[in-house]
Amino acid sequence: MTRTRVVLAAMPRMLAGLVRQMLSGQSDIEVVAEVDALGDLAPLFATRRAAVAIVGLADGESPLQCTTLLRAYPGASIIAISADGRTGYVCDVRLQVGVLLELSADGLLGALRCAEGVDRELHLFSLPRPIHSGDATPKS
Amino acid sequence: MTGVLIVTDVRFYREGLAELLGRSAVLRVTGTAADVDGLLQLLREGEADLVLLDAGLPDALNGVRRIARAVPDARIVALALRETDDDVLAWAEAGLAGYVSRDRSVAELLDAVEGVARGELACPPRISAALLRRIGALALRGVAAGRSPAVAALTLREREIVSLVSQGLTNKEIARQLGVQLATIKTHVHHILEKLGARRRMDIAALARRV
Repeated sequence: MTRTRVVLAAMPRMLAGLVRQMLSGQSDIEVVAEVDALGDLAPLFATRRAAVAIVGLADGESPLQCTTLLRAYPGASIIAISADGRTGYVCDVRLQVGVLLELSADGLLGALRCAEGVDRELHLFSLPRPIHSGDATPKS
Repeated sequence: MTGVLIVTDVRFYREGLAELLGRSAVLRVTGTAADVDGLLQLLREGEADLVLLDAGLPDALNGVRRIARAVPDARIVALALRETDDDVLAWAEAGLAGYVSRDRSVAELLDAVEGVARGELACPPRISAALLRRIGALALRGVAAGRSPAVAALTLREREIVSLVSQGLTNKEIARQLGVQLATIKTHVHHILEKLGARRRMDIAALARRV
């Protein structure tokens, strides 16, 4: 059985303990490392072959900070947990294929500009929109 | 086994703490609640010796007072309490039996809860000193109010029991009246005798008018 390799980072001790306890009962998941600072996390994706990082967010911290790591390790997933333990944010990079129906110059330019928009949307953690051609009306 | 109720509005903590404490050989989790109202409902339906309450709950300090009033014999442990003198003293006066600060590990949390179940409190020397200072100040206040230091050292519950003893009630009758176990009353009476320096039950009655 392939086990999902997980690293824990920047988590309060109690929260980290509860997460570890929860994961210890899962045969398909293993915690391979734990680091105190988010800055120490990046190398672990390579050296410990971690697939997922669970990180703790300090009060007022945004999950947006995970984008830097995801740019360096686009194959990884990061689950960020808010300081109060109420909310988790799943951050990953997904391949998206949009269709340019009846390709046109306007459509191509629109797609180029939209592609930049998709990059911005990654920061906002919203779902990417489908890309349409210039008039945005598919023809049958 | 000590029955434990867990109250926190963070679901992940509720579930995780229930599993953690459930692994203890001396604790038994009897229920969880998301707020104090839910906890009080559980307390009405069943028994609990110890309540683990999230200090981050809205109006949590008042929640401690409500629980202490509703179930005076339940030991309340605050989870993730800020470990400052002022906070710990305020919560202690509200009826706290123990606390775990937010930077502790789950192992330390388990130790702390099991310790409170045994009637112990683990806290830094600085907090112990602050608690002793406060007890001294309260005793002086009691003396100023015309009570002896020994009488002033009695808890509200102990004063209540002194009053009932002085009315001639037996331990069994007091237990029935207060809705607690006979053993609990015996323990209270033992503490009262110690604090008052009295040897016999009838000595308590003699002190009642000073209470």
